[in-house]
Amino acid sequence: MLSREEDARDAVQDAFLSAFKSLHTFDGRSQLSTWIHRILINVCLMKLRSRKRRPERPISDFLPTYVEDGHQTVPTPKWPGIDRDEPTLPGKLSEQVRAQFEQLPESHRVVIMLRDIEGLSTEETAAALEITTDAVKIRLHRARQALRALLEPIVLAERESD
Amino acid sequence: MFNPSTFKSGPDGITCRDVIETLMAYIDGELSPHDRAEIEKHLSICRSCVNYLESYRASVRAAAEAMRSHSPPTPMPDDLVRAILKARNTFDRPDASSPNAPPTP
Ligand SMILES: [Zn+2]
Repeated sequence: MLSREEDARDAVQDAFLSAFKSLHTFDGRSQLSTWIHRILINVCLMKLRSRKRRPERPISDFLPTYVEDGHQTVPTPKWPGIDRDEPTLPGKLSEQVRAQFEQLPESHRVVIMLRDIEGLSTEETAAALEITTDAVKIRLHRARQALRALLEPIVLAERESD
Repeated sequence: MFNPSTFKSGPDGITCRDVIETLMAYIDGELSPHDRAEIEKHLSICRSCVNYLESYRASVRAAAEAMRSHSPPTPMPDDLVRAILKARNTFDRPDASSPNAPPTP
């Protein structure tokens, strides 16, 4: 969620501190981990807002476009080195994957973080972000589509260089 | 997200847009058998959508692998959860340590 590692560590520390300070507000209905996640997210968001950051591009910039008959404006090419059973990218691209991930708007990046990386359920993610489960699903699908679009040129360039 | 009322197939079946917009529900097995069959029919004749599906899944996996391999901030250890729970009980009953405290309701 935060790009620099020390910021992330600070955020975790702050989150645990505020968790301890607000223990009395923990009502026991939500899972403790969800509750701490929520605090962690709020702390991260606060830090992000307070830090000068380049303006975000809207998610729509990264979504596919279609012609009138519903075909994609540009057909999707086959990505090299993946197939249906084992769709994965070479580990050497990890650095670039992280860099592209940072391009996503915060509101969408956080959903991929919680669902696909932290492994929270749709419901847990909705509770942590205080949004509906439908909103989680919409954001997750758009975030994955945007990430796919951001990774495509890298994956295709990788093929050229091989 | 996916609204079945917009999922009307033309003479050539559903469109690439229909497939791509319902892809997550398809992958998660949340579509009706009818809609699932429509998607699979389209995938059997549309290379672009097959490529989209494969690259979508590859992207999800790549993100998870890239972020996990990059030491995450700090995992929350079970001990810490227990410590917080224990501390919470203490906070809830500040006089619990006092022998003369009235029983908590
Ligand atoms: Zn198609």
